[in-house]
Amino acid sequence: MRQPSRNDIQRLGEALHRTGRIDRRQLLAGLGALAALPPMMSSKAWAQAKEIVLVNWGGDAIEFMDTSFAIPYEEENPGIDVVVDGGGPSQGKIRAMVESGAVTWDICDSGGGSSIQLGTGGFIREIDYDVVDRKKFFPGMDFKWGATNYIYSFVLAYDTSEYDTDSAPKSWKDFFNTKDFPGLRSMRKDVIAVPEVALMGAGLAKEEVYPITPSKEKLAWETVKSILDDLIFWASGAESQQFMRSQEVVMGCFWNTRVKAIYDETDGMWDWTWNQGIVLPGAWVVPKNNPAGDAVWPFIASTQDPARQVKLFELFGNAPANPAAAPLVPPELKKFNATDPDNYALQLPVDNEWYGENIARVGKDYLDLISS
Amino acid sequence: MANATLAAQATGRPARAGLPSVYWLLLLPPIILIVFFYLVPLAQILTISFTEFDADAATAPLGNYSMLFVDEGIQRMLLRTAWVCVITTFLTVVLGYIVAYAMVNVGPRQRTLLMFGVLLTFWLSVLIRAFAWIILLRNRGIGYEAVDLFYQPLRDLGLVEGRLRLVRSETGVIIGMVHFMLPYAILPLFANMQGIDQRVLLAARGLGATASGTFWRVWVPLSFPGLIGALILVFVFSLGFFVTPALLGGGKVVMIAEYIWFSMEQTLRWGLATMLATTILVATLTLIVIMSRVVDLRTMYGAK
Repeated sequence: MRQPSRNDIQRLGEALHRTGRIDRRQLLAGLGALAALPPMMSSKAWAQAKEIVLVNWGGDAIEFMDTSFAIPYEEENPGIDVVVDGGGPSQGKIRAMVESGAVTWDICDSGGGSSIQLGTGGFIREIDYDVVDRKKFFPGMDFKWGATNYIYSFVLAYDTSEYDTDSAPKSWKDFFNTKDFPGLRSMRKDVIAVPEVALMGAGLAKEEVYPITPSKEKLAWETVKSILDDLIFWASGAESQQFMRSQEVVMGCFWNTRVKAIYDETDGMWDWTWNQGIVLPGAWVVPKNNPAGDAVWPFIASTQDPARQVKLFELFGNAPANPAAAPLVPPELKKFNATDPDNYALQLPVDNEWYGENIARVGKDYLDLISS
Repeated sequence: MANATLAAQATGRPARAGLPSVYWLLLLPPIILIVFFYLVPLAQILTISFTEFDADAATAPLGNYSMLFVDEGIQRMLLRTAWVCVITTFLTVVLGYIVAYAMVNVGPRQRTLLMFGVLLTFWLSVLIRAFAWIILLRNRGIGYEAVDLFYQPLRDLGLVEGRLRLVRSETGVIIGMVHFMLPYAILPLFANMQGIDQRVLLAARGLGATASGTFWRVWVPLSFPGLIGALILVFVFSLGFFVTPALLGGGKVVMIAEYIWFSMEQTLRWGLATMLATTILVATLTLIVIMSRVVDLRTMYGAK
């Protein structure tokens, strides 16, 4: 993994061979010569200067982050290779990698709350804010161990064949009202954003949700429990899309990016409201002893560029993390932008600190609750 | 090597000098592989379960293991796991017994067909099978509509109310797990039943036993080792299920394997995760020891 240049040469050689530009013997000779190189080339110093491995959750995200962030950076910095890998940097994997002492990842696509949990555990590095610019984040999104890379929301989405604009559920209160809005609905199997959604479902205004006290926590669990029979839970974004696509549920608390994908794909079979959405930051985190060392900071700073963030938004639907990017979004895409000023004002930014401190506990409580 | 030669002589086989040690050499790579890639990591897991304490488990007398006795959430999850596994095992072994009995008693051509049917599902990936059930049995699915036709009269009579929930529920998990486990019940039962001497049944009939008397008092006791073997095998396999409950349970049927994954990956509670992993390992080993006491494992797989 630290030798992409070697892999590149190898791939190039194989491609040349396939297209008949070199014959088999030349290919083998070339590969043999290549094998003699590694002691010299694969040293850590070489990797530090030349290669940054960025790990995200796979699928289209690999190509999209390559286009938006990696390629422009490589063009500005000849000789640096930014490799996008879809390995899925879960907290467990990051911890296992750091503890094993064989770190091959430089930058991981994680989240604000996760960065606090991983950072407190001592598995990731503090962000170097001498290089990364704090002013290019929304307030509170400059984490000690995480640099916000994009923003997404948990939104209330509904099947438009069940509801028209007037009859559609408009707030979490409607979501938890199974009498007037009957039918199966869906929430995520992971606790993040659930207490907020449930508290608003219980009638609290979005300004009253925080701080989450023990009694509010209890109220949130009771609210979820009250409609448990009518709830099914999605574990992955792909699964949430299946639920929408197959119309197994009539409404759900889904990531806005996934609702957009279904909206585009089905010509509006699913729609959503930004009202009472929960805004979440994705965040770059850097594992301890990452192979590229400090070379990651200038790259992370480059991903704060508004134009690059808008590019990712256009491709992927993840909203820009830099407030300066909103005006650059084409007007017809404003509707999809979680950080557009109009949409942002309707929503509640998540309290990452609370999750950083409590997620292990409330995560387990929530799992116990939904499986009871 | 000397011992091996002696042993060979003692058993009366021709002693071929050197061969036994060559066999050991051939076994070396798999042994090394198992030690380094299985036993060593396993030992590490055991270690973590005793050294990394979860939340306030550090002060408890049994460390993480005390959570088994005090944490209601974990107890509920364990009970649910056991419950789903018991139901699955019961249904699987009953259905498997019927199929195995049929396979022993039909003609060779039908037996081949039945065997083909059993093995065909055996070879399909667990993921594909789970998705197939979802497509069939979800709301508006073909299978769902068909079953719902029979359900509607009951609803009209007021005997039941509400929707039928065939997947994304505990029912869905059990359907998926029974389907997956059936070959694991049928194959050992079939192997065992094939070893039953049919003449014993004829003798029973000849001595005046009725057909059902022969079945219950002669056949069933003779198939007992296969039955116990299938029960324990299916139960042990069911304990570790992950994909089927995760997909067919609608997120609400969280069994121990998924709970371990969740604690490992999502909440970083490795002390809790490794404690549960160790618990399930011990439970499994205990069951296997019981099984080996009750039945000769070799008869179960037809190796004898």
